[in-house]
Amino acid sequence: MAEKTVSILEGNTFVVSDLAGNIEATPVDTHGLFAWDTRFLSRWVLTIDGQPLQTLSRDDLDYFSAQFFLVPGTGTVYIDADLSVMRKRSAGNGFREKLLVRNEKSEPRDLELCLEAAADFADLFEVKDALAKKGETYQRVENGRLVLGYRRETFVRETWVTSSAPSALDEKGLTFRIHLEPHGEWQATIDVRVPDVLKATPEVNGGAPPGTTSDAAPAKDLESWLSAAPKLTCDWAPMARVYQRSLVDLAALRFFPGIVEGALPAAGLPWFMSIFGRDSLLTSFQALPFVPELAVTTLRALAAWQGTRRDDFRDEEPGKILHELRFGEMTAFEERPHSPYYGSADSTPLFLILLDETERWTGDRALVEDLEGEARAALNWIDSYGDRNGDGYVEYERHMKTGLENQCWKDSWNSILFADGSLSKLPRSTCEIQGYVYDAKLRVARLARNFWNDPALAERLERDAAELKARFNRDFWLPDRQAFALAIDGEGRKVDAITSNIGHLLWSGIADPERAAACVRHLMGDHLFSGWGIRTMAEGEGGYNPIGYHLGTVWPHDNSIIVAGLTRYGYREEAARVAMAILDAATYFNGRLPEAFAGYRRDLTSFPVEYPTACSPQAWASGTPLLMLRALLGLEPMGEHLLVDPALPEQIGWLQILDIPGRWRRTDAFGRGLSARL
Amino acid sequence: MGSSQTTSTAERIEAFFDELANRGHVPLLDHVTGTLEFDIEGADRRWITINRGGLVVSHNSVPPDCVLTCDTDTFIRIISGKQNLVAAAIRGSVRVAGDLALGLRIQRAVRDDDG
Repeated sequence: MAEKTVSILEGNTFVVSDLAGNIEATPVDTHGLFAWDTRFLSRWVLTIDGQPLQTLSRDDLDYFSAQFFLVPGTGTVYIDADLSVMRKRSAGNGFREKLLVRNEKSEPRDLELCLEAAADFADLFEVKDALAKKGETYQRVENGRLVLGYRRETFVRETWVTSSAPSALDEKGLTFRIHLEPHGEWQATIDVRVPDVLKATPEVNGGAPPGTTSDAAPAKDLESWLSAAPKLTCDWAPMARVYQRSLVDLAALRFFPGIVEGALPAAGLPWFMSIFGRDSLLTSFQALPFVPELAVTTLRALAAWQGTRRDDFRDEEPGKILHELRFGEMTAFEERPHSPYYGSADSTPLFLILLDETERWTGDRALVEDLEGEARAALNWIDSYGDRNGDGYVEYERHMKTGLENQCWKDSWNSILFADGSLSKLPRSTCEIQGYVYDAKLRVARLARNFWNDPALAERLERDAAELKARFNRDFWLPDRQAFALAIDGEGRKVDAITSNIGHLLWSGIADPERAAACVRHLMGDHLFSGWGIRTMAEGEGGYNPIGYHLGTVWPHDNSIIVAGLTRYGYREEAARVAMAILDAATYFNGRLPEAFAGYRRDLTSFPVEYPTACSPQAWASGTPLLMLRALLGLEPMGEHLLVDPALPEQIGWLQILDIPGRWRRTDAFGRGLSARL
Repeated sequence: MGSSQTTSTAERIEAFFDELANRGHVPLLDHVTGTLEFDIEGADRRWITINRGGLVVSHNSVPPDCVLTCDTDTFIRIISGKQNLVAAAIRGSVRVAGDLALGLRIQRAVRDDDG
């Protein structure tokens, strides 16, 4: 698929332009300079003598910069330009653009270069839903600076534009009158700055993530990120590229939450460049063996934002971990509940799971001690607010219409269906959330015993977990289908579609062994396993649709959790098969797994068909190869050591990862494939 | 707003800080240390020093790590749980200068209150 846009990002800023570097936002072209969930530039168009430029080539240098090589003219077949234009742009607190114009003729010339600038200050939610603005925009020129602004009552957002070269500034942009000698050059650097929206006194670099103030800093930062990560070598050639792509994309997706030090994984570019409970937690979990610092920031930030009171608009309750945080205008005026929004029933148990897992890997005792209060509050949420109807299971139902209908990972409105395709009723307790609760309780029991000196709590949690497991295996089991129900709905009915959710139950360990075996038969059967991965819903179900968002597509992150589950129950060959299918699929996307691809059978399409989604890269898709690698090598912390127990697919002869960080400082893992072992 | 209401507004703000001073310790702020200045238009300035959850309210200037500035209406709405502090900060009706994390976390102290 030919790409029509170029995206760069750094810290909390991203820029989407066309292939010439121009920003021309329309309802269909969601171009712009975005930060704080707001579009700070909606037009940024370069012309010379009133003429547009065409692209000779462009170069995505890294995720934070891009370069465009342009010539005057409008796309005729034959190009005979006598003027070269180079445009290099780096993101970071806005962006910096370097312009270079070169006269390729042997006569002098004069020209007028214009950069048209405008900002609509649309909230990302408005961009998505094409809503109208309620405040006023303004433009002014002051102290050699063009200010584009927006005001609605006390809500003010501004974009500041300055240039290193003399220019005529007016409310529509910048104009440079340039004289060029024969083969002469002209250069200018233009700064487009976005002041920190939460600061009382805007400072250009205030609140900036460290290392974004100079052009060289992001490059150096990426270099040190990559050099700190474990080194992978493998005889299956694409593996190195997939691994590298994951690391770079996770670097790009780092979001600086401000409320605590460090960076955590934002959910995805461009629409989900923010803190998300579920996405940030699961991505951090996937990445733990490789970049454990993401988990530490995620946990500390989510703890800082933990719910403290009942607020129906935000679906907030004491102890609950947030779903999503936004800083745009609609959130500011409480037209949307994202300040933060807490509509997620799984973030809270996932928070506890990640807390324990992080300690197992890193030995970060201080983290577990610091977050004891938050962990206890999270446990209380699970048993009180989480279990709304007192049936012993966590269920969800939004309090207001502005909230989310489905508060599990399959968060589209029609994802929780019966086998006949009919929709279940709210409140819903989906099966995988009960699994997460089971796992969370056992893990927190370990923390209570080893770190909080509270053996009584540990015993209670272990009793609770055992009791939950027994009940769950009874109440959720579908004897006729030999599978766990997707959910129990608001009328107490078992929602009986066969879905990928049963794989999460293996990850959590809640499934009895013989029931797990039945689940594995489903997961590896043709109705769930497409050949490219495990579908969200099985072929043959009433609601099945291979291109339905959660109704039959294959989600890489879903598969990574299932692979971890298969590994946990000892189904190593099956785990290797699924992991290999997904890794293989990644090779069709230049090593970058998409959020989802179609559920078509592998023998029907010779390549995985990408689901037309707006987000790329998507954090938990980027984290997927990392959890797959962990599962293939059987990496498990065991006391102060890292256990390595490889089980590789037949396509991989050997796989080696050096310098895996953890409580052991650095260690190595090596595995030989099944074929190599024979 | 009439003068009697203005008096009651000032009293409510006063009562909020008195209650905080009496509480002395807010478990939800156990990880928080720093000094906040409240610059509420039309009211006396107040400083709250937090030391791992322990609170001291002062009428005298203490060098702040964070200054929160807003009008009385907004402040009353926040301490009575009707206005979310984060939304107010994004909207600009509360201005936060200095340590943002400290400023936003104070909501944990004010939220349980029905000033």
